[in-house]
Amino acid sequence: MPNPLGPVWNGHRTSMDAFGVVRRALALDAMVRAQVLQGGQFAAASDQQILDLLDAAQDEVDDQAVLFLYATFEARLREHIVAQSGLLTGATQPSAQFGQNLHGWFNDLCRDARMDKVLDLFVPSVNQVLIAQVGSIRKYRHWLAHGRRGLAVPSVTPLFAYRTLTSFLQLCNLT
Amino acid sequence: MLTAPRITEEVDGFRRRVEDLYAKVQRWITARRPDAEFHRTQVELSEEATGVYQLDSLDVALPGLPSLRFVPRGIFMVGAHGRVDVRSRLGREVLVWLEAGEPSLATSEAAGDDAERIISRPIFRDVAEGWAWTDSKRGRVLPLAPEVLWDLVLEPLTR
Repeated sequence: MPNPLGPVWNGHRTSMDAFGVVRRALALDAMVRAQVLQGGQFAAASDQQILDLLDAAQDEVDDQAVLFLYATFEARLREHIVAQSGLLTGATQPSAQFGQNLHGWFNDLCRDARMDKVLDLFVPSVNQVLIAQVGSIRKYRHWLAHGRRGLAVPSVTPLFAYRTLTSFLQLCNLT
Repeated sequence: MLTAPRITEEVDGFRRRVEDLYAKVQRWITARRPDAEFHRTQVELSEEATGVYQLDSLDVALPGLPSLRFVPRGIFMVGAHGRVDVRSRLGREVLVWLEAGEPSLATSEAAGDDAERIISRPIFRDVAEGWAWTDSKRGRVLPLAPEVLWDLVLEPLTR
């Protein structure tokens, strides 16, 4: 089973490489530089303006990568839990319909359950330290998603988010 | 937020680690480029666990090359206990302070420490305590040493 976080991580690495290409394009001679940068917001901007845009965008893309990594991780866990709901259809008391109802009810629960409760389901395959680290990525994701209000919560780089979330999935045989 | 004594402990500890980093960087750079110039600027950081505090950033001028800036980014993060970015017009590299140890993947381990200490525990294998460069291209961390600083951190930011 491929790591569902792989495409997000690879996309982030490609974006970082692309930032590097634009930065190096600024050192080209004027004519080539103009050709390379034509057609976008960089065309009429000074070097410093472009560098400021790139610095800000690079931090933004880092945070977006963490958001997407966590969203993909969350989807993978919920998908796995929902897949277990088929086990409930065998419940036939008081009627065969009960099992079907239970199946639907459980699916709804899975979609609505808080992620901290979802993570706890994977103990002891995953220990409390890793659960705390994943919980902290979730907290950082919330801080970003809600507009970075208040003081900064503990942060996570894309590489460390990828590594931590991948470890969790591997321990649960979900990659 | 942490208690006042813990805030002092954490901020002072981070300040010492950053000072240790700057001392090494200055020593290693000067050994190869005696013409390098260094300048400090105070920056303000704010974290939920500590509130606002100040640290120095370090500007490095290497004649003929793009200037460099080491900028502290924060104490608390997942998998490390402090981060300093190195920036130039050519990009950015990330340095982190790693605690010694192994990833806590054993199923029997329980968390018996406060949240900030738990989340900073290593997520890479075979790491030594100290500053390390995060190699996003290869998905690894390397302990900061003179050759790592020059070849992998400063070279891409100055050439």
